[in-house]
Amino acid sequence: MSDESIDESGGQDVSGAQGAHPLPDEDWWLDRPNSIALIIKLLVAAGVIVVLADLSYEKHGEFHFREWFGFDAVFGFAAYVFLIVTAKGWRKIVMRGEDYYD
Amino acid sequence: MIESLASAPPGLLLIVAAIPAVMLPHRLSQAVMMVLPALGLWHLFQMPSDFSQTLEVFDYTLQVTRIDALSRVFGIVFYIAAFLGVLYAAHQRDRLQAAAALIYAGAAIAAVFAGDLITLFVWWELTAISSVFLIWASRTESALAAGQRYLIIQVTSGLLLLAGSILLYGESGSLAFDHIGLESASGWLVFFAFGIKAAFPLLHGWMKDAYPEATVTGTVFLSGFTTKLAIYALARGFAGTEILIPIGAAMTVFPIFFAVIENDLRRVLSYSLNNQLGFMVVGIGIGTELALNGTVAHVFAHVIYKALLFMAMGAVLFRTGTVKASELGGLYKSMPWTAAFCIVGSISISGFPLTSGFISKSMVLSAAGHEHLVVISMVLLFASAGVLDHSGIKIPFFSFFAHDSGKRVEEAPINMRLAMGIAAALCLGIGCFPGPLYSILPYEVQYTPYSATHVFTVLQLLIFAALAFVFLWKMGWYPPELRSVVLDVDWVWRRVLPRAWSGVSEAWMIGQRWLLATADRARLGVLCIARAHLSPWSHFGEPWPTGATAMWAALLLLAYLLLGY
Repeated sequence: MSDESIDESGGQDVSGAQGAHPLPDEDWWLDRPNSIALIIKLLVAAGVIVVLADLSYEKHGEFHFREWFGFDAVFGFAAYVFLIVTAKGWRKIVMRGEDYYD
Repeated sequence: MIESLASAPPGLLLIVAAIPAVMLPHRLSQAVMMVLPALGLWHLFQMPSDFSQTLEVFDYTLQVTRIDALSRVFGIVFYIAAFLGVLYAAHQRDRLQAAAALIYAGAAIAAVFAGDLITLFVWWELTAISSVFLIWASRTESALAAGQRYLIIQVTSGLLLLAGSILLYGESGSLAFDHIGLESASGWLVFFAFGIKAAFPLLHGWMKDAYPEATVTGTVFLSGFTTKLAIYALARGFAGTEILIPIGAAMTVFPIFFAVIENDLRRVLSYSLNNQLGFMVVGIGIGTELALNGTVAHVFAHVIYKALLFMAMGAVLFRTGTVKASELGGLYKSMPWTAAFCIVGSISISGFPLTSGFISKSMVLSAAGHEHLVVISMVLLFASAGVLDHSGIKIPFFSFFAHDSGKRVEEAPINMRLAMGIAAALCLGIGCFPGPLYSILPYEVQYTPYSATHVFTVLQLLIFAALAFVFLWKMGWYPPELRSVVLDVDWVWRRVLPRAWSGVSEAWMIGQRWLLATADRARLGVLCIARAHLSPWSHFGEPWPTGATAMWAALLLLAYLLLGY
């Protein structure tokens, strides 16, 4: 996980978002980049399996388009991206400094 | 004596025993407080599944206890929530909070067994008054203010309920709390009363405002009762009311955008709670047996996993002193148990197969499908992907993983871990073996959650939404957690109205000053005119000649004569 640059802070103090790093004498499995890559690979594999699974049974959707091959996979991905992108735009309108109400 | 005790309204035990119980020495008090909900639940199981108890007050017959299939299942889950909450709070030595929590739980339980609107009103207001102490118990200035705002809104809901009930009594001559509907204005009043507590869109501000201000343990109680009591009341009074379908759909969608950008993780959970209520409200609006079963099953599952998530975030707050996502990360290293339980809560609320969320939410989705509500179904599906973001990923990811904040703290106290463990076990147990839950739902269940279509479509939706998260995160497009406040509808009464009020009072001052000055000027003007014309040396003031006076008198007499004819 990379330290990403924060460009939309609106001039606020965002030092907390950067966080500290793992303590030097610790070695955690999840801190290794290889572990994260493995988890992502497993997730992709699971995705492939559940989409291919559509071929193995007869789908009974309430609407005909819900019976299309991989409909929910595409819908899930698109819905998620739409949600995040819209929320980021929304943030420009409704986000204020932490002491706004004080 | 024993008989009247046995037929006492469920919940009353918690209310009556609350204050004596908290007066006992700490350990004994905790033990007694844990026994009380267990005893209450046992008592409820002992009572017949159809039971009514009335009380004569003046000329009115109040049905103080009504046990039927709908109220019973709410009673059961409320007792479970009360037990989990008490166990979670067992380390705490705050008598005020402990008593308030028990009275609050008891009032909510008594309310769902109220058979008439006046009894409902009494318990409805008691939940408001007792629960505010869970917010005030934080003993901070912001909690005090948030509690006051919360109390005003909650009590208003009660007053609307009372007004609606009185009007309904005038119309129908009955106080019975059965189907109400929106045919009359009184129905609308009651509908609004329920809508405030159920956090309808634009009426929801109190929840995201107040819940995150409550104490570590207080929020766990708050998350369980108030809103679900409102869901019960809607299911009882407004099942099949179609306007609830769009209202509920809006509730599932709007909060998730706020949840994405909110930094306070307990506030994220409050938005998430609002979103979950949306699924239930849609179910009530559809009103078919499958939809109502789905709603009630979803309440049952939701109370437990939502409590679990609030418990996990409460444990984080308890140990680190913050639940701001921008200050957290890497806590799995020091709180592995809490992290694991939190993940169980997260996958449950997301509705992964083998969890309680899967077997309940899919009923509501299926019910919408069976009624051919295409748009609503797609909205709910979108909202389900949204749940995965804020509760499934954001909550555990930013607190326990993500950037290591370097915080190394103790694991949550044993009683907290026990409470979370039991809740997590229930989430998985209900998900793997839905039979017992299905058997206590209001209608007979003919529903198979584990069909290939259900399992694989849900997995596709969730896994690909999770892949979208990985994609956005890797690209650096996922919005970073920032120290911030996100404005919501409560902005209107926290900022706009106070500003408008000070504007109005300033305008009033200016107007008053202008009025006084103008009046003063007018007075001076009149004085000047009077002085010019009426003073001894003016036209009217100087002595008139006798002839002129006689002529004026003659003219007046002539005019009088003419008028006389």
